[in-house]
Parts: sequence; structure tokens; C-alpha cells
Amino acid sequence: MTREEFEQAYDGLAAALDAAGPGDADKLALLARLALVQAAASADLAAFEQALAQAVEQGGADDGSG
Amino acid sequence: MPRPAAQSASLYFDYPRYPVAPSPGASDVAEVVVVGAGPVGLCTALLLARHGVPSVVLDPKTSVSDGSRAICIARHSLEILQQAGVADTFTAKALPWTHGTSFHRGRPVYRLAMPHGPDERFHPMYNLQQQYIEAFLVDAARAEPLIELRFGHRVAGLRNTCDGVDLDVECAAGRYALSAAQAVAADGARSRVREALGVALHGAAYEARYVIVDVRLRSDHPTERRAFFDSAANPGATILVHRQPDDIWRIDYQLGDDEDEHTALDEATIRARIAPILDMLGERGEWALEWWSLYKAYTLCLDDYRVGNVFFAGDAAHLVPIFGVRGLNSGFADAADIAWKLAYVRRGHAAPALLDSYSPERRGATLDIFEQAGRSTRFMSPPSRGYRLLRDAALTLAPHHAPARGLLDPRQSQPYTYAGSPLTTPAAAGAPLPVPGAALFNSRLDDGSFLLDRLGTGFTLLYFSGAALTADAALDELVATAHARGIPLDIRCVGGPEARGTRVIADRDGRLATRHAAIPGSALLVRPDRHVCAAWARFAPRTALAALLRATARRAA
Ligand SMILES: Cc1cc2nc3c(=O)[nH]c(=O)nc-3n(C[C@H](O)[C@H](O)[C@H](O)COP(=O)(O)OP(=O)(O)OC[C@H]3O[C@@H](n4cnc5c(N)ncnc54)[C@H](O)[C@@H]3O)c2cc1C
Repeated sequence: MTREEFEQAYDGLAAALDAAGPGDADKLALLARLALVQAAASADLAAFEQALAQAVEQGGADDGSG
Repeated sequence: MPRPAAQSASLYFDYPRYPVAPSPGASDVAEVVVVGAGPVGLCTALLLARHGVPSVVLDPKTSVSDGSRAICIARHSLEILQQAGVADTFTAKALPWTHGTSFHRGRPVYRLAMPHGPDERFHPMYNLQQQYIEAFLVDAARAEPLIELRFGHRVAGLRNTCDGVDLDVECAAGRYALSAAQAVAADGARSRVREALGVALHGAAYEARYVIVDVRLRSDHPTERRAFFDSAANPGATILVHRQPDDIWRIDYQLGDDEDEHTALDEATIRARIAPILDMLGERGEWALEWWSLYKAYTLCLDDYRVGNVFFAGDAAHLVPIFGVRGLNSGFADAADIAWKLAYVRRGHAAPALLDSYSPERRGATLDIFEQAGRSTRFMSPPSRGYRLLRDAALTLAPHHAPARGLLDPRQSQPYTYAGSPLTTPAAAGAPLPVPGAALFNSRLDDGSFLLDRLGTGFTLLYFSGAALTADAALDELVATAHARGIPLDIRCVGGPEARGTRVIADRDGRLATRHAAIPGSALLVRPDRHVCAAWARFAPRTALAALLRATARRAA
């Protein structure tokens, strides 16, 4: 992955995290780290962003209940 | 509001007082007028003079700019200042640096190392206060017979005419009319010329606010860029620290979203914020406040840097974020671009259409800066939760993960590549480096001098001859044809064991050729501003002439 592609992925992930709604701060921080490592490894980011959104929704529910 | 020490109260700088220039009478004529004796206007006038073009420089002030502004001057700017004849004065005072360290929550997470080696005459970066930058340029301009510096003269109005520019100028003795063939508007962020021509800057503003503070402090810490993210001294926000000459330290700290600007600029508040920062830096000595102000990042520029016979340069044309230190550095590059073009058109070396290339080249550079500096700004002060999460992720990963480390690179100012310029001839595969449009890089020559020192004010054909100098006749033919068309062209042959006059540059072991990925017979055509405009694996006079004509707008691209 070129630097430009990585930076574009960074912007995309930031938007995905912004759209993901509230969630547990520690989980989100961990997800953001995972997302960056995934992006750098040229992983399928569309799938990752979707998983991220779901994971965050899940995290939000957990927070609310606990 | 910014404060600070009144000019006379500076702890280290004696503000010069320049004499107000007398009024020339009711009307006056100049070849080129430069509006604004800031660093960009002065550099433009010095470069015009180098090409033999006289200019009148107007500025209402009678000293250099007050307070703390630009401090980091990039290598490419020094290369431009060398052409303006002032680089030695700068390097004698400025503090060179190559490295930086970024800290996250007190831990070092990234070491910035800017490329530097024996092939470079200048360090990648120098720190020098803008007051000194301007004072050195004023001294050089005052010593230059082709420059008429008129301090105490303010441009009040300006109109394009069919063959030039008419200006209304105010000075102590009253108003006068000044006519010129062309004007360079280098009158800064609040440009009066912009207003007079009815044009405006467009773009975006970033929300993050920084307090910029200069303190005097004796410290042995080396000159480097230090960035502190989420430190104990500014939790959740960012701090930047730079050393300047005369024991002055620049400390920029980001304000929290809830901090009131007025309170933040109160002297007591500043002292209360600086003390823990110095403590964090391990500085226990006495310190004194020199200056402070509030800073916000903008990405704003004109839609066109040319309006008729007026050419906008520096902050009058664009405002860019300070992160990556591009404001003044890109202003110097504007000066280098417009100066040779104006000179070549005025002296008949190029067609008037050459001036049309100024805006696409320099506005293109600005848009690239917006992209780069926008990224730096978003990293320094994330604009949303998503960006903050990712920025913190990158900071946490940086010590162990190279791609994340790359995100911490502050992308310091680099010369722009005019690849899409109408003056640039694209190269075929196998051509020597750098690519057409890029600035020629420097190299140390066999005799210890530097390649860029060997270029003059004209175009240069850098011909890589290898050991045998066989192309003399073809090179002479090109020079003769270029000169017949009024285009200044010098030849520099690189190769062979020994230098011969100014024409042959020795390259005993082929090191220079290797640096340029050049094979015998290949060539680079270099513009007067040291940007390459064409490159060939195999030089031929006919194609070289076509590239020269294109670079002087003598022929449609
Ligand atoms: C806090 C801060 C830090 C910065 N740090 C850096 C850095 O590290 N590196 C970097 O590259 N850049 C930096 N910059 C940006 C840099 O200071 C500017 O880009 C630079 O000063 C622009 O130079 P200029 O000559 O275009 O404009 P100015 O310096 O603004 O000069 C304009 C001149 O025009 C004159 N003028 C105004 N109106 C008229 C008129 N009507 N008639 C005639 N003359 C007029 C003014 O008196 C002035 O002398 C920084 C800026 C700030 C605020």
C-alpha cells in the first residue's frame, strides 16, 4: 500500500469511526489501532469498516447495560 | 489580542528604523513595482535585480515586521536565497537542524530524521526569526542599485491598464501616481491590492487555536523540532517547541475547546501555562516572556494568482497552516517563479505568454500544500472524534509499527514539482533524474563545490557525457540556435576526470551521473529557477530546442 493509499484509508476510517456513534472509549481505541494495522496491511477495508460499525454498536449497547 | 512587547521592548532584537523615502513628485514611472517589503516582496526584488530588472518596492512601514512569525526556513528556500545573494548572512545567524522528536503522554514515539548528507550545501531546515529574515533582506536590497526601496509609501489604489498598471501611492508628502509595466502584489494577508482588484481568498479555516509564545531561556538542548501529544503540561492537546537564535524558544500550545481566547492571552494565564511546559522540558532556569499571540490555521488562496498585469505572491496569494512550515517557504518559491518569468518577458527572452504559467504553477503548489498541511493540521489537532481516535492509535502504535510512524512525519516543506506545467516537457522512460518539473537537487562536485553553484541566470543544459566528450558540436549548435532566438542557455558537461573552464564539470568516478541515473549522452534541461523542464536518455539538438521553446512559451505546448 502506498503512503497516499494509506492516508486515504486513514480518512475513510476516521469517517467510519465518526459515523459509528458512541461506544466504550477503550474498545474504540483498540479498534482504531486494529484498523490502522489492517489498513497498513492492505486488508479489505470496506469489510473492516462494516465490522467496526457493528462492533461499536455492540460496544454502545454493552456500555448502556453495564 | 496579540501582545506583546512593543518593538522597543524586545529582549533581543533592536528594531531598525529605515528612513522614509522622499516623494518622487506628482507622478513617477517604474519598470516593475513590488507592493510590500515583507520577505516575499524583498526576495522578488532581489531576484529581479539578479536578472538585471530594476524595481520600485513600496511599503508603509519603516522597520521590519513586529512580533514572532516565521522561524523555520527550508533548504530549498536557502537555495533561492543563495541566488538572491543573501544565503551566507542567513546561515551565519540561523540555527540548522535535521531532527525532531514526537512524544505521546511523555514517551518518545517518533524520531524525525530529514534527509541530509555531504551532497547538500544547506541543512534541511534552519531556525531564524522573521525579524532577522527581513532585516537581512532589507540590507541586501538597500545595497542593490537596481532596487529602489520606498519605506513610508503605501499603495492606496491600483488599476490594470491596457499595457501596465497604475498605482496611487500615499506618503508623508501626499499622494502620487506611479505607472509600471507589471506589479507583484506581496502585500501580505490583508492585501490592499487584492481589495483594489476586487479579488478574494477562498478556502477553509480550521477550528483548533494555538497560543504562540516566545520566551528567552538559556538552555543547552539541541536545535530540533519537539512535538508533545497529550502531555502532562497540556492534557488532550498538543505542544510544539523550537529553538531560535539569541536564546529564544518558540512554544506553541493548543488551546482546549472550552478555553476563552481573551483569558488565554492574558499575561498571567500565559505565565501559568508556560511554567509547567518548561518544567516538563526539564528547564529549571530563569525565563522571560518575549511575545505571544493567537494562531488559527487557514487554507485560503486566490482563484488566480494573476490579474492582468498584477501577480500575487506570498500571503497576498495564499494563507497556509504553519504546520510543516510552508507559509514563507512557499512565498520564497513564488518569488523565484515570478522573478525569472517577469525578467525573461521584460528582456524579450520569452514570449509574454510565459507569465500565464505563473498561476498554474504556484497555485498548483498551494493546493498541494493544502493537502499536505491539511493532513499535518488534522494530525496535530484532530477535528473529530474519529480523527482523534486514529491519531491516538497511530501515536500508540508508532514505536513498533512503521506505517503508523509514517503518519507522525510532519511533512516539512518540500519544493513542488511542476509536472503538469505548460512549460514542462514530459520525459520518456530511461531519462535522467529528477523528473521534469522537479527542482534540481544539489550534489557535491569533485572539487568540493556544489552543482547548484555552477548554474547561472539562464537555462542550463546538463549533459552527461561519460568519460568521452563527444557531443561538443551538437551542443554548440543548440547554444547558437537558442542565442539566435534570444534565449540565454549555458551548457554544463558532466563527465571525465578533469574540469575544463565553466563548461566541463569533472565526474571522475561517475558519482554525479549515478545520482542522476544518467547514462552517457543523456541530458537535463534546467530553467533559470533551477526546476528541470525536460530530460532525455539521449540528447538531440532538435528535441532540446523544442523543449526550450516550450519553456519560454514561444510555441504552444
Ligand atoms: C505564528 C506564525 C508562525 C509562522 N511560522 C512560519 C514558519 O516557521 N515558516 C514559514 O515558512 N512561514 C511561517 N509563517 C508564515 C509567514 O510568516 C508568512 O507566510 C510570511 O510573513 C509571508 O510573507 P509576505 O512577504 O508574503 O507577507 P508579509 O510578511 O505579511 O509582508 C507584507 C508586507 O506588505 C506591506 N504592505 C501591507 N499593505 C501594504 C500597502 N497597502 N502598500 C504597500 N505595502 C503594504 C506590509 O507592511 C508588509 O511589510 C508563520 C506565520 C505565523 C503567523
